[in-house]
Amino acid sequence: MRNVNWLTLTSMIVCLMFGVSACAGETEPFVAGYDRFYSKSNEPHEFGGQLLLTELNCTACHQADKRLLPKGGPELKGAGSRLQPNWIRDYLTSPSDVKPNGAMPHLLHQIPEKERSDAIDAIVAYLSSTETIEPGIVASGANPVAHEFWLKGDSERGRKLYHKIGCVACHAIENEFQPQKTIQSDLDRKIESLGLEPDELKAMGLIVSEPVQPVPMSQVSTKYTLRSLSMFLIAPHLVRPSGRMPSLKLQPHEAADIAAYLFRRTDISISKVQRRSALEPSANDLSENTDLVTRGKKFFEQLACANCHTASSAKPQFAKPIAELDVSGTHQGCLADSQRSPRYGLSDDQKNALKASISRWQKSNRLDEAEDLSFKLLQLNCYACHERGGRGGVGSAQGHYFENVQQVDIGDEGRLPPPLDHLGMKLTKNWIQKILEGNGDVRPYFQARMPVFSDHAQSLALAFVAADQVEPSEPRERINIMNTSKADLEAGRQLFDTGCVQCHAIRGESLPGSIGIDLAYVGNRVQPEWFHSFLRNPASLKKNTRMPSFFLDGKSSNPQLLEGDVSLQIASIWRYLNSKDQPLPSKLEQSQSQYFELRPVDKPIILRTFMERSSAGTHAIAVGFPEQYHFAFDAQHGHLAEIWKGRFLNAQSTWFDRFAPPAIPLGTDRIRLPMSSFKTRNSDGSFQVINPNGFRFRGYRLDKMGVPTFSYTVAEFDIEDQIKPVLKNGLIRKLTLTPSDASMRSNNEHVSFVVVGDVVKTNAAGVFATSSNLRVTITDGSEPLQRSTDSSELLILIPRRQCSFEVLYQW
Amino acid sequence: MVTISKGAMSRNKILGTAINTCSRALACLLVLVRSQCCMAEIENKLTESDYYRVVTISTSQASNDSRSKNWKPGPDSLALEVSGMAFLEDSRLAVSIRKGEVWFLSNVVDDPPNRVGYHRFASGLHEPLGLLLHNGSLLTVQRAEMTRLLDLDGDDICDDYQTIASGWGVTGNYHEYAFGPKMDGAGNLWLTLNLGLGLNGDQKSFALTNKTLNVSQGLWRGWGMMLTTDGNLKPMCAGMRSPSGLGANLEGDMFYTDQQGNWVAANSLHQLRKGAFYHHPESLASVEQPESPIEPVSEIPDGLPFPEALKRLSILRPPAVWLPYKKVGQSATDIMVDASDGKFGPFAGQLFIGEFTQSSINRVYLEKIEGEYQGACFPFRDSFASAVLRMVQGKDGSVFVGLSNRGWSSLGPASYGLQRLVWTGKTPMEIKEMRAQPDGFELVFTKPVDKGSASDVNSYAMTSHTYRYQSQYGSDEILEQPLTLVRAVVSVDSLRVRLETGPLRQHFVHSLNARGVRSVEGEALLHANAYYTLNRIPTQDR
Repeated sequence: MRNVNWLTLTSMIVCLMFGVSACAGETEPFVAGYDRFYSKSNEPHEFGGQLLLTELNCTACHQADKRLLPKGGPELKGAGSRLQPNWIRDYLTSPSDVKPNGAMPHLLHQIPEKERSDAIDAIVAYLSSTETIEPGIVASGANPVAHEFWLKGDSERGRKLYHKIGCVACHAIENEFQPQKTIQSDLDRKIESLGLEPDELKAMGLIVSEPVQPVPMSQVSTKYTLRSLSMFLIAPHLVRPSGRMPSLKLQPHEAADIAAYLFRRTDISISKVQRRSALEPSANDLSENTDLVTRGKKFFEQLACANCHTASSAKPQFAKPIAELDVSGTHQGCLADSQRSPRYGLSDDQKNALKASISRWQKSNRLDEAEDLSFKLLQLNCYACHERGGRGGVGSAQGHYFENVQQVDIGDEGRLPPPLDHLGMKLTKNWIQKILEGNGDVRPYFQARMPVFSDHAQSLALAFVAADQVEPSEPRERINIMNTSKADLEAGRQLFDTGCVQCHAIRGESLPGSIGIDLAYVGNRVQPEWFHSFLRNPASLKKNTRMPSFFLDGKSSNPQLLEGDVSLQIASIWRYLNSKDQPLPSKLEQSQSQYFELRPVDKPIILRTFMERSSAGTHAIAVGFPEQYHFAFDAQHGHLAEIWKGRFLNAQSTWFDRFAPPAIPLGTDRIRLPMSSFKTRNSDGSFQVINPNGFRFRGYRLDKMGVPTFSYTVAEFDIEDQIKPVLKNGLIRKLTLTPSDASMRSNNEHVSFVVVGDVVKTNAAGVFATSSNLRVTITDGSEPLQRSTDSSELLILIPRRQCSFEVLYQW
Repeated sequence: MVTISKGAMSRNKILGTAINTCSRALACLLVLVRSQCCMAEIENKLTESDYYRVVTISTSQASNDSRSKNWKPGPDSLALEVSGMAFLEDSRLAVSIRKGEVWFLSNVVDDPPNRVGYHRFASGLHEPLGLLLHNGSLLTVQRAEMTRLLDLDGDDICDDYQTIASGWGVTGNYHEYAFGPKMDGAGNLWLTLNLGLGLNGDQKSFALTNKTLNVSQGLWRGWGMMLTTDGNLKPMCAGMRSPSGLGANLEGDMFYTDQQGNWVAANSLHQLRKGAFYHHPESLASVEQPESPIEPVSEIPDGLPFPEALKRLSILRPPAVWLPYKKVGQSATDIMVDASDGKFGPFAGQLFIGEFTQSSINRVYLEKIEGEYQGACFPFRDSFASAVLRMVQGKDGSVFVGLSNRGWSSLGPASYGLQRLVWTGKTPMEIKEMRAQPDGFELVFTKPVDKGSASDVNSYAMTSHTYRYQSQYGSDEILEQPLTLVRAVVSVDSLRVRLETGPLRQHFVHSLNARGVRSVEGEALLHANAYYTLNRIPTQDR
């Protein structure tokens, strides 16, 4: 299929409307890898032919061995309720009229014309007799699924998605659709910089890329319903187990959007067709006719449909195995377009390639590791996106549709799927498998999505490892170098900070505007030897990479670290990246603090938050001052819980972390005060903590300078409590206590305020020192001080009248 | 369009009359209804946005996943994760945001909103999840207290943060959200307390344990609390899981929404009142407290159909309305009554329920049968830019919709923002009310119906189902049965249809699909589905 465009689609539709017989004659089947790499070669290509053998399902009838397993066709269980019955009818009548260049051969020509219509009815009935397959879609808090989501697609959103996430690597681009920003590929840029005329370029062999032709797509609006198409897009492998059409991890609403778009796109004056089919008896009606179903199954087996398609219990019918085919003389069988064989509409070059490959296979069916991998990449059309060994990669027209999320031009690496050269050396086998299973995405800034190839994940991962196994270019001691115990975490962190952090993220944090893979725990996916070689000389492993070398000519650009030992530096970066609970590189710490660090400048900053239990707890009020003295107040107990100096607090966890972990003070000289503020005195002179119900927090008021005064009630005393820095010398706390009328009359035990809990030293000037080197002075107040019986606590007995006092905390 | 619908309908009719009660026929009918719908989409019928227009005041893209540990706000400076809204007397909109600030937005009713001004009024709050103008000043509920925000010196910045209620348990678990306040008709202020989820060891040490039921939670977690006009905070009702929305109807009765999860079979709407227990037994960790108005129970049945559970668990009260999962949202949030008396379209007096995951708003019609609320819910408007967390109605009747999806996921391109929903003045063809009758239901439409389609029983399909009351997360719709439609009688004014059905089932949700009904002008229903929670079957015609 050269040049699929909407004109051909239109003509196709015209065929439909005027009856199918008017457009006889098969079109040549399209196999992406063959079309792109072999169809233009002058010689019939054995390898290309071999691709046709599996992709056109030749080996489904002409069996070979496990190396040439046929692609297989779509799962047809319940197809009658998934697909529109009229479409099935038309398709069986003439597959290539309904889907030009499709791989499905014409089969019904083998049945006499007058019986054909009946046979088709029977097959449709048979295909409708089983439950259709749909993916189970579970809605949850993390997975929005609107009711009947397939009816809620937005075709314009779908159009954008289709051109953004990678559909166009294989399928037709809508010519009118403009990508958001056209980005030149690195190659185009280079060629342009040469300033040569096209002729000259051609003479130099610089214009190499032939246009990549799109994989044909059915006219979906006549084939599917919105529901069945959405379901297909969500889980294509359920219906097409061959994996040639992979899942692009679409959310249900995204699938609905793309389905709506594909319906709109192919809905060219076909409303009549659409109307007819929508009102046509449902296929379910046919399926109730058990006689018809039985006959349908018979036809299904007789025509060898079951060789490619599974549908309940129909049995395959095999033809002569590949090994026994005679391809020496003139074309025979399928190659001869015989009445008794499936008719593929093969082109001459396809026929010749097939013959060449069969001859070769009959002589030797061995593929070396490189060929085996290459064959798998051709079958799954990995080359549509990825380059390996100079072959493949996104086509030049398609390339414009590959962008990164921020539309920042950081070269092809920042937008195009990565080349697969040395992949088996670079990544661990398990990680390759994980990627293919859809769980290994590391480039969140790509708009294109890596499709899922679960069923091929293991074999493909093994093939990469086998193909890329090379003798290490340098001695095996590399591994030992990377594992050395001399690797230094802090040096690794500094090295990361001087270079890598400019582009790379780590643990989800990155510098603003930078785009690069998150390198945290890189050892989970990348092999240490490759990492080592790549850092020493990036371009040797990845041509045109923008990754700079920090070790030019084998010399470190940071000679002051680890005596400039390159291997040790690389090993240190490796160790830093693969170690848990390491501090972020300092540039990231700084950049983070710009957003989330609370820095009081001209006024105090107040933050209510969770703090650790041994600090101000779950009712914490943290107050930071420009003077760099800060405190945390526990509003559940009226307790000055923690004091510290220097930097105040990072608010990120309080503001934005889903799990709301306790906020940790950033500064220095943190002191936590013992957990008590008010006590009652027992008759024996001992003190005990006040009943929690005796405390009630009433809020806080800010003065002109923004300094809070807390209000609370303790055992019928109303208390105003203000804590603020004094003369860069510490914090001063002023309490004003007013007894309520009730407490004036009450005979309750005396209430005491605990000035400080763990006094270890007292000096003559009335300064009390604690075990944590806090110095406490009563600077104002005439109330008598008391010591608890073990004299570790310093208390003020609160009188039954209004009073106030001040306490200075220095440390 | 019209031609096709008729064709499709006549086919429905043939199929339908042949085997009316057979569920297989019902399935066929749905298949046909479905394909008809595909065409409708292709043929450009009017959509929700033709009747209710979304005006974006501010929305932002988040740079990473809404559940991510390193979630960050978009590149703009103000993370407008709206968690509460209230109009001030000077017509500015006060907006609380989840990081703990209150902003005053001016000129929000401009259309397009090009001159919106932002002024920060309060800061340093701990995840406030509601905002209410009360006696001239703003009230909010933070994680640990209800707070009055006052500006004493008149500089338009809060300088007095008065704690007016506190004392509930806060173990430090992230899931312990506190929502409110909202005021009922008697002037009481209500707040609701989310259950903790997966308390760690440290958090557990601050929880209460009910040994009989073996449940642990912080004090009054999973309870609805009422602050009386004389300032006493009282625990009123229990059994809540994630009660993220509160709101009163025009009569002044207070309601809350709950979200599907363990013990909560589907999202639900309940009247708040003393002594009621709704779903989740972990709230009963506090039931032995002297202030509890609920009597302790010795056992919670696990896995019974809900109507059975009601018989077995005497304290259990059914929701006024179940919101069937996916069909009417996945995570119900705020409750807003349309008090605009018609300025917001034909649904005056009805409740609107915010929807988080699907970024939409649903609608509820309530009626009282034997003194108890019950009623129907309907899809109303989807395609907001992010999770709908809060709604408030402006003087002009338009609805301000506060968005934030952090911590969970939602449809739509944004992570947070503020949008406004404006009625275009066009009346959508909708089922306005669905009312229970002894032998079926009465439907009230927003516009006169076409008598031919509306009196044809094959224009309707009905089923009923219930849920399992269970410790497992959510519940399937169980014991589903088709409901026979005997007759559909159109009223003289063509605004009402009386559906006579086969036997109704008490405490079951009765689902209606009225896709065949057309207005006099031939319009299809904008939303053909309605879901009625039939707690009581009326004994008399109403």
